[in-house]
Parts: sequence; C-alpha cells; structure tokens
Amino acid sequence: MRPLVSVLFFACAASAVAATTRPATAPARSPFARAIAYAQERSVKIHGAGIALEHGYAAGTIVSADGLILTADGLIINTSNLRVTLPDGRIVGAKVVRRSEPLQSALLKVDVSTPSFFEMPDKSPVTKGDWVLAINNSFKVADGAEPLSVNMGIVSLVADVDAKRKVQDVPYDGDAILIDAITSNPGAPGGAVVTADGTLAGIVGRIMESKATNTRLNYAVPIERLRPFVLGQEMIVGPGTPKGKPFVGIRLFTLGGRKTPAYIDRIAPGSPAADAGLLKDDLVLAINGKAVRDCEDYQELEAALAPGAPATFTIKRKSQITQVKLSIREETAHATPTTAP
Amino acid sequence: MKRPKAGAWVPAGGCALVATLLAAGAIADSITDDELSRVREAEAARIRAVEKVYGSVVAIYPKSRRGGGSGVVIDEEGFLLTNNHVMQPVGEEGLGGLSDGKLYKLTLVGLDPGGDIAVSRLHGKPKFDCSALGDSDTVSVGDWCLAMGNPFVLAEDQKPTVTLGVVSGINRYQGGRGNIGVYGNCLQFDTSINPGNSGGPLYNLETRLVGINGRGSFEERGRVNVGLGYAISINQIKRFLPDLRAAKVCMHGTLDATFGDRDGKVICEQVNLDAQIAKLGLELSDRLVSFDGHPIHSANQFASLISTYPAKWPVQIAFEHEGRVRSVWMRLRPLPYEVPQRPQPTPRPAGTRPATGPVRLPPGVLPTTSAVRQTKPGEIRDMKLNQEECERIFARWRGFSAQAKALGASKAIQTNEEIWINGAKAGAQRVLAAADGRFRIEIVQAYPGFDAGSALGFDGAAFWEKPADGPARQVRDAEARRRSEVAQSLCLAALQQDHPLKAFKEVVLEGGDRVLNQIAFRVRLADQAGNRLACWLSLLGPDGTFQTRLLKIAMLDGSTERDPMWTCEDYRPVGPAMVAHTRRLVKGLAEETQLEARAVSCQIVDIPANAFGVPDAPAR
Repeated sequence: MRPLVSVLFFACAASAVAATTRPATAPARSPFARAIAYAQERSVKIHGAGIALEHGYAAGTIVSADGLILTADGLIINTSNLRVTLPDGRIVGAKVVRRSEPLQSALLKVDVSTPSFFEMPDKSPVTKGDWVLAINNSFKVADGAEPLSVNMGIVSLVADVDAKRKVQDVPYDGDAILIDAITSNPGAPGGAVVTADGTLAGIVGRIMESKATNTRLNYAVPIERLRPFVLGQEMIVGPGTPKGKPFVGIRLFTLGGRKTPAYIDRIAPGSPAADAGLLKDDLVLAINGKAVRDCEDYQELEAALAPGAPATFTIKRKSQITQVKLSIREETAHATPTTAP
Repeated sequence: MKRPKAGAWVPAGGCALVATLLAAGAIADSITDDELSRVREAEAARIRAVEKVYGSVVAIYPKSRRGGGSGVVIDEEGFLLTNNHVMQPVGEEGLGGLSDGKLYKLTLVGLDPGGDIAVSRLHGKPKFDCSALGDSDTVSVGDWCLAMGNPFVLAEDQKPTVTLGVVSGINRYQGGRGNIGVYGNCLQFDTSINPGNSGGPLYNLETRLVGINGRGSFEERGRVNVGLGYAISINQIKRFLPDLRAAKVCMHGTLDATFGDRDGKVICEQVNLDAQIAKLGLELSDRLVSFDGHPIHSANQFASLISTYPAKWPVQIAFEHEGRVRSVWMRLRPLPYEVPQRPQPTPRPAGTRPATGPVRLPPGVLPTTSAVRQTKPGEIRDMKLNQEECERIFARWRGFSAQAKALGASKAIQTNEEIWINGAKAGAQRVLAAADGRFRIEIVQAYPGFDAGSALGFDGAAFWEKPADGPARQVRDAEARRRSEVAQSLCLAALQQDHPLKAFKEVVLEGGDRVLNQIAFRVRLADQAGNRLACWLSLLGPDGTFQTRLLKIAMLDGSTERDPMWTCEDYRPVGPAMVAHTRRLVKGLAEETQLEARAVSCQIVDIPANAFGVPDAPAR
C-alpha cells in the first residue's frame, strides 16, 4: 500500500479545496463509497446447513474469475445443498474445494464465471489504525440481489490468536487482524474486509467467543495467510494431501494455564518418539536447536515441524543431556475429511 | 479487474479528508501542519453540527421515572418524534429532559403503531430548539451518520449521548409482529445504539434528521449494540406527520392484493374481488410494473415499499394486464392491525438485569402493556388536540398570506386573469376580492360557459349574476354556493379570519394527503349552511422544510371525479400580502387540469364605490 500514499495525499489536497467551495447544505458523500461499491460487487451470500446456534448462512468473497469463493469454515458447508447468491441475485450451487483448520476458512467453487473478483495481495495492506470496511450479511438482513451490509472500523491490532488455549471454541491459530467494527454476528463470517480503497485485507473470521468473559472477538483472517491457501500452496488437512500435521507422539505433562517445563508424560507406541527411544519423564530442552522453555514453546515448535523430515530433539534424562534424531511422520488419526474438487 | 484508484475519488466534505488521511495509514510519519489543520477543521465542523441540534434531543421518561427512551424536537412549539414503543409505556403524559438539564411536561399527540412512530409535545417553554428534517432518499451506504439519545437511561443531567458510524444498508426490511412495528425501507447503520436510544434521531453529518432509531438486531447476545441498528426513514415519517399531528392512530395502506416473484416478474397472486384495485382492472397473474413512480422488480421490494405508505394515500399504480400496461390512480385502503395471537416474551440471556433499566421491550414491537388510552385505529384520539392543530395551521397560513392585514376593510385585491384550456388561451376575466369575502368577477373575454360582459358577485349578504345581454338578478344562496368559484372565494376569505374555526360549522383536520406532489394536511369543512368543503394546506415545501401554503380547495370532499377542485399555486408577493398567481380547476386524484387561470396583473386597490353590489342598482 505504501506506493499509494502519495496518490492519497494528492486526493486529500483536492478534497480540501472542494470542501471550502461546497455549499454547507450538500450532503457529504462517503469517502468510502467507491470502495464499498467495489467490494459489494465481489461479495456473495452463502446458504448451507444450520442447526441451533450454527446459523445456516454466511458471506463469501470472490477471489478468482472462475468462481473461487473464500468463506469461513463451519457446519454451514457440510451439506450437499450449498448455495451461493451472487451479487446480481442469481443463486447457484457451490462445491467445497478445500478447508483449512488453522485459518478456519474454506474455499468454495461455483460453476459460473465471476468476472468481478478481488485481487489477493501477498503482503498485508493494513496496519494498526487503518480504516477497514467489513462487508457482511449479519442476521441475514440482505436477501437476493440486495447489497450486503457494511460495517466500518479501524484495525486495532494484528495479533497472534492461539488455538491451544482452551478458552475458545474455534481452533483458529495464528495471526489475526483485530478490528473495532462489530463483525462477530451470525452471517458475517466469510465477508470481505477491505481497506478504504477497496483492497482485500482479509475475510471476517468465524465467530469466536471467550468462554471466560462471554465476549466475542471481532477479527479478520489476513489475506497474506489466505492467499497460499487459495493457491493451494498451504498445508492442507485431509487424506491424500501432500503435507499434513506433523506427528511426533509425545504428550507433555501440563498444568492448565501455567508455564510448565516440557516433561514428557506419555509416548504413543509405535510413534516417531517411541522409535527414537524417548521415555516418560524426559525433559525436552530444544527442538532443532531452538530452546523449549515450556510446554507452550514445545507446541509451537512441534507444529512447525515438517512431516517426512528428520528433527533433532535435545532432551535431559536424569542429569544427562542428549540429542535424539526423530523422523517426523504425518498425522492421520484426526484428519478432517474434505470433499475433493 | 482494477481496484478503484484512490486519486479518482470524488472529493467530499471535511470528513472525507479525515478518512482519506487515516486510510493512507501515514498520519503519524508524514502529515503536514497544513493537513493537520484541515483535519482539525473538519472535526470542529462536526462538533459545531452536533452543537446545532444538541438541544433538540429529548430523554423521555414515564411519570414513574422507571425506564425511558429518546426523542427529537422537530418544531419550535415542542412537537417531537419518538417511537410508538417508547410512548406505549409512557402513556398520555410523561416527562421530557433536554440538554439544559430540565425536565418538561410531555403529552402524547399521535401514534403510528404500524411504523413504530409517535408524536408527542413538550410544554413549558415558548420556543424549543429543533432539528431540521433531511431527505432520507439521499442517504447512501457508507455515509457517516450520527445517533443521539439516552442509551441505558444513563444521562443524569439529561444531556444526550452522541455516537458516530456509517450507514450499512438502505431500503432494508425488518418485519414486526403482524402489521405492528414493521420497518419498511429502513436505514441500517453500525452507529452504536442501545436500549434507551429508541426514538432518538439519526442524523447525517450536517445534522439533518434522516431517521428515527428504533431497533437493532438484538438476537443473540442480549440487548446491547451488535453493530446493526435500524432507523425509520424520515421520508416515511413525513408522509405520516399530518396524521400524527391530527392526533390520530395512524393506519398503513394496502392494495388488498398480494404479489409474488415468478420468472423475474412480480405477479399478482391474490386480490380481493371487492378491492379498489380489482375494480380498476387488476386480475390474478397481472404483472405489477410500478408503484408511486418506483419501478417494481421484486415482491419483497414492493412489500417493503408499500409498508411505508399511510392509508388513504393517493398513488399511481401501473400494471400489465394481458400484454398492455395500465396506469391507474387510487387511494390505498387501510391495512387492519392484526392482534397477535400469543405475545411471546423476549428471551432474556442469562446474566442480564431485569426491568429496572430502560423500557424493556421486544425489539421495536408493541409492548404487551400500554398506558395509552385505547382508540380505534384510524380515528382521532383527541378532538381538542385536533382542533388546536387546525388553529395552528390556519394561523401559520394567515401569517404567510397576510391578506387580511394588508387589505383591512377598505382595500381589495384586483386580478386580471387569463383563462387557459388545453394549453391555449381561451378567455380573460377580472376579479376583485375583499378580505371579508365580498367579490366580483367580470368576464372580459368569453370562454366555455361564460359570455363576455357577464359578471358574478357577492356583496356580503347576497349573490348576484349579470348576463351579458340582460339585467342583473339575485341568485339564491344555496345555488351560488354550489358553484366552485364561489365556494373557493368564500373559503379563501373565511381562512383569512382571525378565528376561522368560528366561521365554519365544522372543521376537522382529517390527516395527511398528497396534493400537487406535496405532503399536505387535509381539512374537512362545513360552512354555516351545511355545505361541505375540503381544503389542503402543505406540511412541507418543495425544499423539505415546514411550509404552510393553501394548496387546494374542493367542493364536497374532492373524492369523486365530479367534485371540482381549485388549486392555488405560484405564490407571489402583492404589496405585503402573498397571492396565488395560478389557479387550476382540477379533477380526480391525478389532478388533471380542466382549466387554468393565470394572473397577468395583480394589485391591491381601494375598493371603489358599489364595487360588489348588484350593477344597475343604486349604491347602498
């Protein structure tokens, strides 16, 4: 976005001149009008499965000319009758291409051409304090060809949301753009979050409610994380996919919430850890040379391991410090089934 | 597909500037002093705009002071807009707090349960601060909007809370309970509103009133702001304002027909056989083309649109019947309020406080308890308030036209008029009219029905007529008053009196109507002889501000094609008075011109001797 700054300032100067000559009674046109129109042309309504608090509707963001649509993952897409209402009001069936657990997002495809679509920048177009517009269909207010709702806010923070703390019901993991527009409403997830000039910054994330405070997080899944997912370059969960979750076979001895040292509590039989001779009560000190101060560090480093590649674990057993080589495998037991395209 | 270029933005007001600067994300590192001062200027402009209307926002409480809502004063005399669901628990009398910290007595005037609007009046000050009405049709998605009110009833000092956000959607539809509390073509915004904001104003950045905040999507997380608020559009409210000020319980309009979508067309699915629209030729499976000038492209759009119209409102409807498009005019029929079978309590999420806070109601719908005196829908709640409003309307009209004051007893307005029929000049006449109702019309050039040299007059006691070739004769009173020119002239004079209500046997403000494409008050009159008349006075001028002009006078009530109606248009100053320079004889709801009288010269003259008496007779 940096190259645009000078252009924007030029626009500022022009608008200031116009502001002085404008009659006081003329209504000020929204500076976001163009960005909104641009984004609404590229956003869709999605209708699928729903039960109880899982609402059967969401929003979606068109990211290619051949009908690829990003939306939030969830129960809604677990149906053979997934329908997408295009911006012109046409209703077409959609198929799930793939879904991502850490992004809590899904990629859909419709069999019609979608000439209006968002370009996906490979770098985040937003930073703390920037205006953002969230296109959404909260509470299913818009129907048919009616334009989707727009909520406005600023980026509060780009922060790491950790899936492992058991305070949230959605296992979103990694960086998220926190915004101060209220988007944690049914029907909002999957909607485009755009900058003031219409650049796609991300999609509204799945509703995430803290069990501790009953509050909800308003956040967007950043586009630079979604882009590889759309292009098929990201780690994909599911059978037959080239890269899955790494499987080590270690369960740590943890005390909920505390920062506890990474002592091994249990080794899964036949796992890479068991093959390498690791034992209960061993303390993991480092993985591939990176220090493991506590269980949290361990989880992060373990998640970053590449299946199929060897990894070096530094462990302390009694008073001995040794290095052990493990050949990491791919986790298959908890893989989510996906509908292949 | 290219992104819209930032540089190509249409430059807008100060706020656009702030947004643009912030949007660039470069405010901290590269903003110049000049830019910063402009941002501050825009901010100061916003603060000034808020200050301008701050004193007009009302915190509304029941007499018990338990709970409450918001409202906004739109008239110096203290008339305010709020929600029906705010006034229901407040009842006939409550309290209104203003930003001066004082509480004023508040009384209920009119209600619109269908559109969730009420008009009340503050008492205790000769002049109240008020907000100017805006035009909600100019609001577009992304526009800034300000909400003000009394969320959670937290203003101990009565000063309103101000919140800012953007318009998220326009022409939204939020269903009510049956036909009660329906928000049709409403504005959706992300400005924070919370319980207690109900009835408060939604402004654009110029603090023109564009809506009344009434409800939010409070479905999942208790009754707090979730980023979706809805306001009843001010343009809908304008159509109901005359009814509301007439102290009526408003009803909404219906066609007595329902429509559905089929193959991209909006098709009639049901129609009552005795419905007016059926008599005008609508049959099942006919296609609805347009309604009141709005092209109809979906059944939902139509349902949303028609819910914003009052009963008896005149509309033009186009429908396609067997391949041919017909355009008809009709008055909408009143839509009865269905009584909900089983009122369902709003689910209250665990952990929220019960009833001591703001008025606790299902979002935007009629509460189960009501402190309001029950009146049949469509009827006038309080005849005294109705008569007072008539007095006020007539007083405003007298203040504008100022004829009685300008003429006194010794002067009259003399007008030379050209008569035009079907766009061609057909005749000419000279009219002399005194403020007390005496008049004389002389035909200078003949036109159909009138011979050159004939005359007609009223000397204050009796009517006379003089044919071109014969002597004058007296005309019986009842016969004269049946002539529309006579009726119009007498009505005009009566409205100039200090107490017009005494000049008539009966005066009733019937409510709203549309005349000459303006929203107007319709007043039913009966003169001392019992002859029925109707007159229409505007509520708003073409620029949307309050403006009282006499627009039209009709014999009987103008409801049939036979009732002749005279319009009063093109007001221009004549000395200190304002006189309509174009009068048209019109027929029917479409107001088709039959004849047009254009003033070519108009002046105030001293009344000549025996100007109004029977010609040939000796001067009295």
